[in-house]
Amino acid sequence: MAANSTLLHLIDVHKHYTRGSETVRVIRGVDFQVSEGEFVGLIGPSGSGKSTLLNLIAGLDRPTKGQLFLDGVDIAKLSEAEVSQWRVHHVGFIFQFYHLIPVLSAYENVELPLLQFGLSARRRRRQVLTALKLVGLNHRLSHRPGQMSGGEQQRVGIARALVTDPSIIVADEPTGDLDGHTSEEILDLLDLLQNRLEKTIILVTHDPRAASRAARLIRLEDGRLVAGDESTIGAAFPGWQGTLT
Amino acid sequence: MVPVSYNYRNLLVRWKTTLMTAGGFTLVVAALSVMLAFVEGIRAVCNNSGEPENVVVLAKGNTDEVLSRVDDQTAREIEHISGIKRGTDGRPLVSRELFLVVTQPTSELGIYEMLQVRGLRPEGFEVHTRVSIVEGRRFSSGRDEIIVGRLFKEQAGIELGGQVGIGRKKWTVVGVFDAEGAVFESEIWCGLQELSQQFRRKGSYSSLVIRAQDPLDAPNLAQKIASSHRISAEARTETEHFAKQAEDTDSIHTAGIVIAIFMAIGAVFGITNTMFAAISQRTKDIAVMRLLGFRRGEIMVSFLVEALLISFVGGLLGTLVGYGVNGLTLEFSTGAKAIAFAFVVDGKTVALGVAFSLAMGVVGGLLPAWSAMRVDPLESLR
Amino acid sequence: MRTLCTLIIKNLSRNRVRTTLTALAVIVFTMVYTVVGSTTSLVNRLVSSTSSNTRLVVVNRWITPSELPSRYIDQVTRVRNVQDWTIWHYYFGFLDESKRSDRFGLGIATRIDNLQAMHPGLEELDPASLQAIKHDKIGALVGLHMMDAMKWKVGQRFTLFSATHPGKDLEFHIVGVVPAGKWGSNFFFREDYFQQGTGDDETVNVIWLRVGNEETGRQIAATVEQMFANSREEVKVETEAASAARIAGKTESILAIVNMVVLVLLIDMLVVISNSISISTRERRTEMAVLKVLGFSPNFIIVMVVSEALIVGTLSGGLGAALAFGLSALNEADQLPYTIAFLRMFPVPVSFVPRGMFLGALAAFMGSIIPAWTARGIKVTEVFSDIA
Repeated sequence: MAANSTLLHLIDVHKHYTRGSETVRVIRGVDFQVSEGEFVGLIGPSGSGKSTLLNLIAGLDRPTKGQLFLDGVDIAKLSEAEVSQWRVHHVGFIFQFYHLIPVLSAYENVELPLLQFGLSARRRRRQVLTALKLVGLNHRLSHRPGQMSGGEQQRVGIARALVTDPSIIVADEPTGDLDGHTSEEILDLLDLLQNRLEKTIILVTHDPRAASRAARLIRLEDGRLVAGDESTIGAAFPGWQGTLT
Repeated sequence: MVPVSYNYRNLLVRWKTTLMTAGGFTLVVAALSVMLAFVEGIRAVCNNSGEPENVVVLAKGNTDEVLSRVDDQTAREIEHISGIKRGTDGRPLVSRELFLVVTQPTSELGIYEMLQVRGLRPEGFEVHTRVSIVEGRRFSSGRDEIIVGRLFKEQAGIELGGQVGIGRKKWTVVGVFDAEGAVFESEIWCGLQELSQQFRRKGSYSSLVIRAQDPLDAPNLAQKIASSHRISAEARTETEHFAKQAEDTDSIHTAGIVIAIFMAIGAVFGITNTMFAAISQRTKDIAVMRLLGFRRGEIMVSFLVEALLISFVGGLLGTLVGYGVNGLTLEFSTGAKAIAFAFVVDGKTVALGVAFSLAMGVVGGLLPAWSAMRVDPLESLR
Repeated sequence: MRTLCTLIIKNLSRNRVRTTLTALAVIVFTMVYTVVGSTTSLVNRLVSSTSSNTRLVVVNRWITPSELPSRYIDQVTRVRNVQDWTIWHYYFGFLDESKRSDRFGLGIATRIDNLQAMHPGLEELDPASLQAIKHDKIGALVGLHMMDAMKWKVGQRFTLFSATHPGKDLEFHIVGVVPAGKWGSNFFFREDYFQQGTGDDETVNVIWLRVGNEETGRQIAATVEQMFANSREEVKVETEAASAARIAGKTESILAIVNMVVLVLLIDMLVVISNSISISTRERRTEMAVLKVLGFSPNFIIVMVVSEALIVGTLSGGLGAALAFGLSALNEADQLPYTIAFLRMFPVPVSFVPRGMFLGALAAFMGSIIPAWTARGIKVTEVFSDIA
């Protein structure tokens, strides 16, 4: 196993949007690498381009300029449909607002991404149950999102991200909508994924508590990396310990 | 009171939904307007046709001229009745008329048109006083001459001096007449003698039209004839006679209203949908308004006003579309007789259309507005 | 596939109020469509099905309503190749003193011996009533719609206040009912009673001829027309089909209105569905973006949205038409507290149920394709940047 080989490699990535006649340069030349099994935190003030960068990494959006290799594939060069296929197999998403389908049960929500894999029903069931067991929700299979707490919903969201066994999991403010205690539980769960399952995790957050779980922090400001690889939690959030109770 | 601009700005923001919902109303109201304009058009012609001084005599049991046969004997008896106005020649004004529906082939392909031909004597013009020659002159008897109604001229595309075949015979158009919108305008008029000779109806008439001294006398005159022992015939004032012709449209009128009501029910479901969606999008707005001190009733009224705005726009557009048929002419057949009429969209129809639409708005908006009223401000702002 | 189905079904039950309202709208629209559309369909059916090219109608060449000297009967029916014939005497008038236009009775005095053979549309006439009229001189077979309008029962007597024969008001004894359809608004009675009662043996209104085939029909028509070409009462001979088409042409203005109403109904249905689907896709923008993130293709989203509409449209379209059909059938069988005369006159055929489903589906498809297309094009990044 090629442990610690480079999984993600961004080379001079730019992203511009045009709003009317104005061009907004959201990402302005970003370079960095993420190794397999790493837990990277992506931090920065709001409007710094964190979410845009995450969208680029996840293949939801394309860079205006630059190269973006994931597992050796330059996803900027793939077609829309190819990116979509690639994404299903390689990326798992966790959202701030969970984004579960309200009409489907926990079980069905987790099963959703698997449906495009052409697996047998039994195999699917095994995978869904494994994922739900991992997040500790195997007793709430038939509950609808509306019948669950925020923390539980986010666990379902994590199970859904896991179930396809992706090489990278991107999480956009996964604790942003949760209280302190529940946040810790969710973060513990992410730790578990990284430690036990050796998943590569990219976590976007501005919550210092969440950022502290990352092994490495990448700080974005005005579309550029600031402190680069050397960033530490202390540098990123001066005096953050004081905020913890 | 929540300012109406709040509603109307929201409608503008969701203009696609607004237009589509209003569109549902537009269609219903347009259909209703067209149906009413159809009925109204026929009624207008019929109501316009009778002169209150005239009494129409038909054979016993008849309400229109097509089947009626009145003989000479009856005609002479009636001339003796008192109260009939005298004509210029000093004789009682009893217009003997023969009305025939002639099936005239228009081509070799077996296509026919129905000509409505009325044969009458010169005193006919003294009875039908609203008929006036607008082009050419009156026909003179014995010379195969006809005059045609304004509408007939339009529909047949015939000009003064042109020829019209009635039966085997060719007749020459020597005049065009106007009848102030009466049914006569789609008829051909010619000499009684010639017509009855050609179609072997000598001594038999379809109707006798009698002129009373004045409008108030006409009902008495009709009554006198109807109750006479010597005469077996139907007699009605001309106004009544034509009103009777419009009776067939009653069922169409009812059917139109019934159809429109059912269509309205469908459209009401549409607006209820839209309003529910609007409210669920704006629960936060509602909550804020409640916290700002607006009362439940005001919230309800506000959303009802919004539904009414949509329905008003829809209804107005609908009557405009409906108004498009105003003046369009069609032919309506009752039995063998055909009445050419123009669609009439009058103020009454427009008002009814808009009122109908507003009613739909109220019915469709009530339930959602009520649910808006019950929004719990604290719950929805959490 | 299963998930798609689950998703669709669950999406429909998500906003029950909206789905129900949309379905109700479609149900009401198809009900009206079905009832209104039945009228045109019946008119068209009567014109096409019972009008043959081997039955000829001999009428006065010029005048409507037709009238011919009765001596023509002999001459016309003796023409070679005429296989069978009958005559009509019109005996029209009011059924009561009100003289309302809907109380106008159209009596036809004709030969009873070949009544069914010469009048297609009478196949379902009860044979017993046919026997009865043979033994009852004043017997009448009365159309169902007349029976309904006048609330008559078989066995009852009625008098017609004649318009065609003033003063000769005849009394009839109802011995049978003519089924709905072509003859539902007429009544038939014996020609000998007509002649005796009215004293009219001079004229006849229509002569009907049956011929072997179209070709002989044409020859006979030419012969008969020729026969009276120079007499004072000329005749016109047409096939029943041509005559029916001409009569149907007279109802054009009404049919035009009916067709407009039908069109408006369909468009309205489309608008309501389209509006409801647009609202629901707009509300689900985020969800659809999530589906896309999870790898579902844009086409999946189209299929999902259109299928939702199709299910509602097809089911409620079918239900609406079925309700109208059921109502009409109950009405037919006298199972309703009130008889709806209009539906008796224009019963809803069962074929309208699949037609209602089809129309519901069509309106649903057309109404949902644009919202579905919009939903397909949802940009994931935009949806999420809205939220963040």
